[in-house]
Amino acid sequence: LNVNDHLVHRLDIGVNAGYEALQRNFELAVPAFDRERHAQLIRDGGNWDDVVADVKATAPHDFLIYWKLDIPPLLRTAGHATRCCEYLMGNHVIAETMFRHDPRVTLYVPLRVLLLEDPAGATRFLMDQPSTVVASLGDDRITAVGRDLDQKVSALLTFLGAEAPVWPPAQ
Amino acid sequence: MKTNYTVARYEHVSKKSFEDVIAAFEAAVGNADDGKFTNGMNAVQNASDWESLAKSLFGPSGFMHVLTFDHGHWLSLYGTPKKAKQYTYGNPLIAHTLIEHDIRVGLHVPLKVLFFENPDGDVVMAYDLPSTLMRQFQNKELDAACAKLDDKLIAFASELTGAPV
Repeated sequence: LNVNDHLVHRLDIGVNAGYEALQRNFELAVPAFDRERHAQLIRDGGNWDDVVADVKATAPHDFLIYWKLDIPPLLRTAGHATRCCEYLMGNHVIAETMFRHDPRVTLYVPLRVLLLEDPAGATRFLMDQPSTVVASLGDDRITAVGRDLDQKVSALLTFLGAEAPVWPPAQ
Repeated sequence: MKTNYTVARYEHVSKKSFEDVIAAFEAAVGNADDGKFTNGMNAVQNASDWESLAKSLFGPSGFMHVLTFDHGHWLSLYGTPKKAKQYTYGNPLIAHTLIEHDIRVGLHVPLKVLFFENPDGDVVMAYDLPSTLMRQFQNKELDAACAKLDDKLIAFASELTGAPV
């Protein structure tokens, strides 16, 4: 058994929008990955260049949603009413640029995002800062891609009307 | 707001074949992919329905997977043949014992696990230990619930891989 302890930064960002508006804007900015269209592209003989072009055309902020879980139905029967939704968000073209160096990166991508409305009615965007998560693999090439993902997350947060964290430019 | 926390990634290294470990995992963990669980969840009206739905999808291990990425398969398009499969999985009843203490637990459940073949041909089962993901929320009741999940997960991984802690 190998055990690796690594430091992660969790981002908890307030968003100046109501929960419904935040969720709507997020899902517009980060469209759902269309599995059937991807499968059809491959059936039609598409190659990796076609996959890259397809992602570029469909992900305006370089991210897609691969999975979504609306939390309230999970907790409604326990009496909780907090509005909250979990997403797995990523980009398989960018993921490949890390996977080629270490397959363990797929333990961390797609990235997890949580949108929630806190008890005071404020909306928040939570996720672990990508570069700090993938840095645990100890490969500078992967960490550099993680830093680029940090920048993309900042740009997405700005689009969503949040005060985005500012990080040094990716190398 | 930015919070720093330390996570422990566990990697069990197995001498079994990749196919054998995957087959054992899929035999033990129920298949709730393709919305079987999430779509069903929207229809439940009470706790009894909810528990029935969850239990109907469990495998013998008491876990179900809700999303599977066969990374090795899609990466073969890029000429990068590797054996790697990631599952998003868990037990919604156990998840409830965690998330009821802090809604932010939703950032980390369901859990993720990755199986891959390393350059030596060994199979690695990698996951972040749940208690280390949740300690950041500083809730003793949550920590206690996570300790039980840690034990269950470590025992499950040890049995699957033949590589105990």
